[in-house]
Amino acid sequence: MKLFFCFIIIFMFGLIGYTLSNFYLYRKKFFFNLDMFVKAFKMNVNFSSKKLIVFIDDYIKNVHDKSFSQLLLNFKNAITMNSSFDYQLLFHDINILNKHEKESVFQLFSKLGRVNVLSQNDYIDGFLDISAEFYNSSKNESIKYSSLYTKLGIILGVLLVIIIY
Amino acid sequence: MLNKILPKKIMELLESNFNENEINEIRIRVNMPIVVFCGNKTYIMCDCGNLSSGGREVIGTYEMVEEVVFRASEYSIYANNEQIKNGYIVLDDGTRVGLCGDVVGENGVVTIRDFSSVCIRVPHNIKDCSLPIFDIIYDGVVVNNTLIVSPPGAGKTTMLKDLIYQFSIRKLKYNIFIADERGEISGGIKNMYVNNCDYLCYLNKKNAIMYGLRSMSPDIVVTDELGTESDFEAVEYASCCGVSVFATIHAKDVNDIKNKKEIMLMIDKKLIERIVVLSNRNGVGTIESVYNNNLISIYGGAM
Repeated sequence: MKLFFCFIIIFMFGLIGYTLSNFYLYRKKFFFNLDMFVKAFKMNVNFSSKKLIVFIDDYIKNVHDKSFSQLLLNFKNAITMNSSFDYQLLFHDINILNKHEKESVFQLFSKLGRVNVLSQNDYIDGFLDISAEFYNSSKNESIKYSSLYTKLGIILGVLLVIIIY
Repeated sequence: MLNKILPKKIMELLESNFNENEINEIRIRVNMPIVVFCGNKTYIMCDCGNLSSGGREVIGTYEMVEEVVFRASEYSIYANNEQIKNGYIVLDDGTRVGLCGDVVGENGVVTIRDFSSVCIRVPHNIKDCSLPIFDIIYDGVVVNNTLIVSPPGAGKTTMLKDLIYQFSIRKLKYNIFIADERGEISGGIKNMYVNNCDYLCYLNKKNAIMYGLRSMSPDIVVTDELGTESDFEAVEYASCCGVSVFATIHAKDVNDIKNKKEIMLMIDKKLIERIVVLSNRNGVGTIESVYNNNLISIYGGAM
């Protein structure tokens, strides 16, 4: 019985650590998908010229990241609803970005489809540097913290078991 | 369709103060009052309806104009550059959004940006509006080459669409080919259950007519708003190929036509057999007169 409780405590703390570490993995995944989306959109603007809504509908089918799909859905809803495009609508249900990241992403999305090919390319090129920076920093954070939190969780669990018993 | 492109505030004012079916045109200009042409009258839009009912004028803003262009382009201005550089965007139903702004380009227009005004022209399908002149254009045997003439906004395209519709409902065995450079004719035709026409959109008239003649073997070629030399060449070519042509051109009356060299050449060659003059005198689409190829009035006007 004692052994079983020890296992449960360690497992619970490990799980908490793993959940915390996932936050960094999700961020990394989000920025990877954002970077891919922007590059794909640039290709679309210059070559296939699909309408923005059609492009998003097609693209979203291949996105397996919940937060990024949510961002695309929010964007689609925000522009198709007959109201002004705003910050709250775009980031509804997305909790993994900080204020600075949200502002940069908002800047990009507020220009998608609203300008001609030349200007659209300029905006995208400008954003690609920023998105690469976001991706790299989220990747570094993920390397730094994701395994650390899982390990910390397990260590805390073990410590608690030692203290209790 | 208007609710898809207009900002919410303007749409609410339109819905509550105007009969949407009678709206012909809406003009939104930056820092100027919004103007609505409805039921052959001009209204300045106010926050409680139109100026005659008092209230404050609704002033167009840069954001409003930008929003209209963004929505009209189906949220994809980058994908509509060909139309934008010609100064308009045409919606699926034939509604035309005319644009003004800063032209970008070196040799010719590359694009337009920083839009300063939009003119939304709402098309109307007026069934049977061409009936008074149908027998003059088609006598049961011959389809006469017809040129519809009027100033802008007097119902040329509406008349053209109804002519196509009349051929369709009579189940006449004529294949009609529409060289629809701006997508305005086909946009309206789609809602009229026309069953005898093919249309090629967004290609210049010359290439579209050549394409149509080669590939669709039409009996009648229909095209809108002749303007450039190549347009006249294409119509002339089609007329010489044994097909009938219905076309439109901007002009006030037959005297204006006399000043258009290319048209007079075609009339002299008997390539245009009927000239229908329209005006706004008694509402959009008033048929003023019809002339034959000797420029003698055969319907209305001074005989």
